[in-house]
Amino acid sequence: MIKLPQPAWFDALLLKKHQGESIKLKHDTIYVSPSKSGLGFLGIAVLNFILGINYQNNLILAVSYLMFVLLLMCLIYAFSNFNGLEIEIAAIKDDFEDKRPSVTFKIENQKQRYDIQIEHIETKEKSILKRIKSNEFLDVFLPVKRGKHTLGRFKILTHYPFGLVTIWSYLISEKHVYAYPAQIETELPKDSFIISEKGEKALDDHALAEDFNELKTYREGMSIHRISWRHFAKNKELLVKDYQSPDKSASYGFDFDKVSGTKEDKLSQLSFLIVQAEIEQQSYALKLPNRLITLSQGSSHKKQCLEALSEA
Amino acid sequence: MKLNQIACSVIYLLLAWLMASDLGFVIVSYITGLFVAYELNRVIYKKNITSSIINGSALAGIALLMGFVGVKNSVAFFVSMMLLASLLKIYQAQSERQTMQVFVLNFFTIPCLFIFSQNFISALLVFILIGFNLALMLIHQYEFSPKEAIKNAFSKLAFTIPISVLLVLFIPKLPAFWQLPGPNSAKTGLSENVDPFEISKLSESNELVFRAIFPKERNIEGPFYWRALVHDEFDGTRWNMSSLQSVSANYQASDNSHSYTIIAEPSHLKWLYALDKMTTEQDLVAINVFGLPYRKRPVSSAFEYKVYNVVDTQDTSITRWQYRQNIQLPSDLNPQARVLAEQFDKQSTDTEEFIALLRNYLLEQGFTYTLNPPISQSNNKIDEFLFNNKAGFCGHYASTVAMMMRSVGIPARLVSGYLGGELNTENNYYSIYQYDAHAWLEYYVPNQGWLELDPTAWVSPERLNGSLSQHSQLSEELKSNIGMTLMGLSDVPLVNWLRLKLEAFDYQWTRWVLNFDDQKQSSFLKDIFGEKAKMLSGIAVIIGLSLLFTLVYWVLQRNSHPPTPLPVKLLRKLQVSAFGEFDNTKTSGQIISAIQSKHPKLEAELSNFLYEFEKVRYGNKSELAELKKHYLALTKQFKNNKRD
Repeated sequence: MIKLPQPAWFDALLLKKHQGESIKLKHDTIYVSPSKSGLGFLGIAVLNFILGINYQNNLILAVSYLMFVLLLMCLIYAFSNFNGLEIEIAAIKDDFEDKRPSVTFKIENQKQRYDIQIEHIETKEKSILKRIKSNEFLDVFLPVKRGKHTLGRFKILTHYPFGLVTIWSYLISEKHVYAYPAQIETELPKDSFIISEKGEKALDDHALAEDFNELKTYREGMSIHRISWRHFAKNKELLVKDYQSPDKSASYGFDFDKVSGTKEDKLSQLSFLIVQAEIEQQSYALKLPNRLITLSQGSSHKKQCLEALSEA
Repeated sequence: MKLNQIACSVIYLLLAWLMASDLGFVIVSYITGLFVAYELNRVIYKKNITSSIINGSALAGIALLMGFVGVKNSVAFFVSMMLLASLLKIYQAQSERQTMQVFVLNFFTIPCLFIFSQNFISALLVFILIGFNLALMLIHQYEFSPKEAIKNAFSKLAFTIPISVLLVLFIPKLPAFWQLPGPNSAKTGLSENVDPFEISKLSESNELVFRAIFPKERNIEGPFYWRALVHDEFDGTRWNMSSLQSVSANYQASDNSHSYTIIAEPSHLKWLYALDKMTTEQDLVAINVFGLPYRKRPVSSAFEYKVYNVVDTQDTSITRWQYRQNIQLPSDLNPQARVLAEQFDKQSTDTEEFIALLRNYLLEQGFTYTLNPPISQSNNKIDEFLFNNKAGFCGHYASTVAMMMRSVGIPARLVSGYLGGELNTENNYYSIYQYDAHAWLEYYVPNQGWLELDPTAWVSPERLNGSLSQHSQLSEELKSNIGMTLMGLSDVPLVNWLRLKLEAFDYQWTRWVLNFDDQKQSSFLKDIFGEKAKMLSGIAVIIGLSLLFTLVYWVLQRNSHPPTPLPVKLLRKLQVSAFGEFDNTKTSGQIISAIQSKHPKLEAELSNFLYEFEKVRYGNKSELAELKKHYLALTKQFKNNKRD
């Protein structure tokens, strides 16, 4: 489809009609046009017309008219295939960047319909229901980068029948979706153990720092805070201190500044640590350069922390 | 092998076979090759067809087409190239888009059959193939099952066909923008140069050449000699087409009413047919100096022209060079025939007597008519025919008599065309087939002009009436030459009946579908709309289409809301008559108990209604009448209650 420059008033009109969490498709919210194949089809109809006129051949002429009528009929069939559908954003599933967050649409419908597609315009990601008979759910996965994203525009479209026409509508949502940093496996930084209930104080505590289990060869991505400088001075060998797995009862404080790597790496490691802590049912606090989330646990706490990471 | 590939291959195969059989041969061998290559590739290497196979096939295919079809035959070459390209593309297509492109292109490829053939069967086939193509599009895009797709596609197509027929009727026709090359269709037909002694087997084709429609009020009697070509150059064995054949001339129509109408089928020759000198108002037809019609330009479809008799302006004298041209004869050939001619010439005083002597000689010597004459190796073929073989067809007789006349100085020329025709009594028209081809001669008599003479009629007078197929003795010979067709089997009464019905249908088809030209449309539209017909018709088309599409839209929308079942309607009405409004949040039980509490008297009756309601609604539909009875009783009582 040719992208036409859209004037501001058009955008405003589109927003007014299509903004919200659901849309009922009816005559004033449905747009129609021939598809790319349809334009080719139209071209061939014109070619047949010229051939029919020049050969004075009524049968070729009849085929040409048939094609024009068929294209018009397709518009009506496609419109009827589309009309009366109700599309609603049923759920927004935040997820890690690499697992792709998704939006689940609920499609309310009572009759047989074909080829209902929903496309996220920004990412061009598309999901298709080849045929539906009753209410149906459709997930659209969003391949977005880490961050907090406004959902924005979804295009709901169909090419049924024959793929010669495109019939479409929009759903513009102001809701947000979070793409959490992808998890990178990492060791627990040595300063992560917290004794006291108050998170910020405990993060400075080095008391447990010496209680390590064994020494391992340094690999990239490991915290330089854990390098045993004593060994380095002796043997010129980079070894890191591997800590004993902490007690079940222990609490963690994850600090942005205490993991190594680039900003994205750090966020990814913190993402991993938070998920691990949640699996182990430990409580944890998260300290980011501009934000502090105090010690807690549970899925809503995890969500809060991951969202904070996404927004960082 | 995928469905798309099989289906498209079959479509192209059918098209190729129907367009022309040698073209078909190329494509057939081609598709077979591809199938084998594809299967081998899949079985041996377990992978899809490679581009090198495709490219190799393309090159081989182009070479084959060059050889079998040839670049000269431009239309057939172009169409066969397109078939080839589409075929290869469908095998090569990787993505859904590419496959779709082929399906869309098929809407051009399939109707190309109409350039080559326009009979009803072709039309039916094209629309069926278009339907299958649409079904393939559904299967390809939406994973329809074949049965479902065919049903869906054909139901949609069936709706559009009548509309497009109406459009052809009502949309005013445009004149041709430019000339397109026509296909070199039929290979059979008259020869521009006649050498009867070269032909051993005649009348193999039962192809229709033209039809002649006589107005009911005019009773024209046969025999019908349909003139097409004049041959006035003779080299001893071969009669060449006259150099004047395509020199146009103007003739004046003798009166305003036409004497008959000809519907000419497409042909690779431009020569047309008429009984006598004629003129016509049809733009596509020109008239030559012999008064014979010919096509101004190639036309791929059948077309019609009205024949007007002309004022015969022919001078009864001929010029010196015309005279020389028509008695010219190689002097060294056929000495025996010359001697015989001279002998007759001496015995006769005028041309008429000369002809009578010749006729007697042929009859006395027992000459016979045959479609399978013996081949002569001699240089003096006419001598051999006259004195040894004594059997031949029209060409032999016409050639022999014309040669003998020329040898004694009577100007004579050969005419070829068709004789007779099969009468369709229902519609009063004659069908003239390729096997009706005939040759006779014209000779010149001072003060009388050119006269027609058919020596074949002397030996086979029956040949003059009707078509060759109706000839009692020769029809057997003809049928064996034609082979296993409906014509060949016309002895079986049912087959003959069917053949005649099909022929009559084809006549109407040609007349009203293929020949629905500008003139016919104009008069048709004038009958409906009067003056300003073209404009009004255009407006009518637009209004009609808008109404139609609104109707279609309305019907489709209505279907999307299933109608409320009758029991539910009755329940709602009860609710309305009890409370004055209807509330769709309540179940049937709740509604009934609400009414019961309002009208305690009717408690039992209402319970019965509910019982029946549930029976009908959730099971037995047949008890709808019972429910209605209860409903009517209840409404009556409501009214009574109100009155109380």
